[in-house]
Amino acid sequence: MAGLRNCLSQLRIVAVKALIDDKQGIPDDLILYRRVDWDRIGGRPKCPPGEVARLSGNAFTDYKEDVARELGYEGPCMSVALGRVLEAFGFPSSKVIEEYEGYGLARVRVGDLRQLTRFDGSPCPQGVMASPTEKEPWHCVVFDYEAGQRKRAVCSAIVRVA
Amino acid sequence: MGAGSVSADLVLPRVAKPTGSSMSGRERLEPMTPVQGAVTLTSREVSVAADRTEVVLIPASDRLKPILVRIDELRMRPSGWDSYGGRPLQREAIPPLLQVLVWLDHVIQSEPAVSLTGEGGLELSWNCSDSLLELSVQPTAPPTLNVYFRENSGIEWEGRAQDCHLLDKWVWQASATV
Repeated sequence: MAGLRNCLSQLRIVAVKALIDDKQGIPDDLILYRRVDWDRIGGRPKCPPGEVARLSGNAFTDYKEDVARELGYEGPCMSVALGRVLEAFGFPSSKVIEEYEGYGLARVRVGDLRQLTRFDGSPCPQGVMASPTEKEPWHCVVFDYEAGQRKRAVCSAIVRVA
Repeated sequence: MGAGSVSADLVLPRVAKPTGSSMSGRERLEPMTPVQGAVTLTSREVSVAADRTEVVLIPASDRLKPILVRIDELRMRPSGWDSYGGRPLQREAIPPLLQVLVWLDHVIQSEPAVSLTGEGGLELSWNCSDSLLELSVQPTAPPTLNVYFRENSGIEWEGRAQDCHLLDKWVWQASATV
């Protein structure tokens, strides 16, 4: 009994959410925002003053599978903020980076992610699911329909529509 | 740390060079005899740790110096640096990247953008008017070097650097300044 109790005490049971594209709750015309740190896109000096920073696929990579599971998701996905919920709370999009000095915001339309295509035109659709938190009720996740980590070519495809 | 000297604890594992490379013969990195005691070198070399048994010295060209400085900046980023739980730069990602930079030094025409990945790896990217190349090291065991290349003509390729037969050509192309 003591051994079983000891074993159970070392178990961590993490409930994971299935990644389901919410087409009804999050229609195609909505806007998503992704925080981007300068060091994801080559550093601040790479962007001349007054110019818009050039995004790279590195700004749209998923949490790795083990990290995603720790966060409670069944597979790799990436965090974004849903504009409509921000508006409902009366916040501008800058709310997403309010506590993150020096960050930028990438903006992408939900429909462009669902109809995403690679450079050769082959489809690589992405799903969007709401996953509100106490601190960020606008929090959502984007995931690749193909199982596993989003490939760099697909990250690059997101750059083209962002 | 000044821009004129960069020191890092580096041991360079043997990394498979791209197969079928069209590169001409270059100085190959050879394992040195073990170095006793820490050695602090000039900006043209890299310092090594005393406790390493295999040591390789990299002749660092002037073109590589700003990259080394940038990597040193990225080493300072803490855990969660990107607001999405990003891992700090993992040491094992550095040597393979530096080694491939030395191999490709003769075809690099401009300084790449150097970025940190969410897994604590490093990424170099060049983006010119007609092509994009991203060279990333993921801190897996062993570290993996991946390439993503895209050209306006429609060519798109993604895979391991060791499978990339045109890596030097693509670096030359994507790093063009025009």
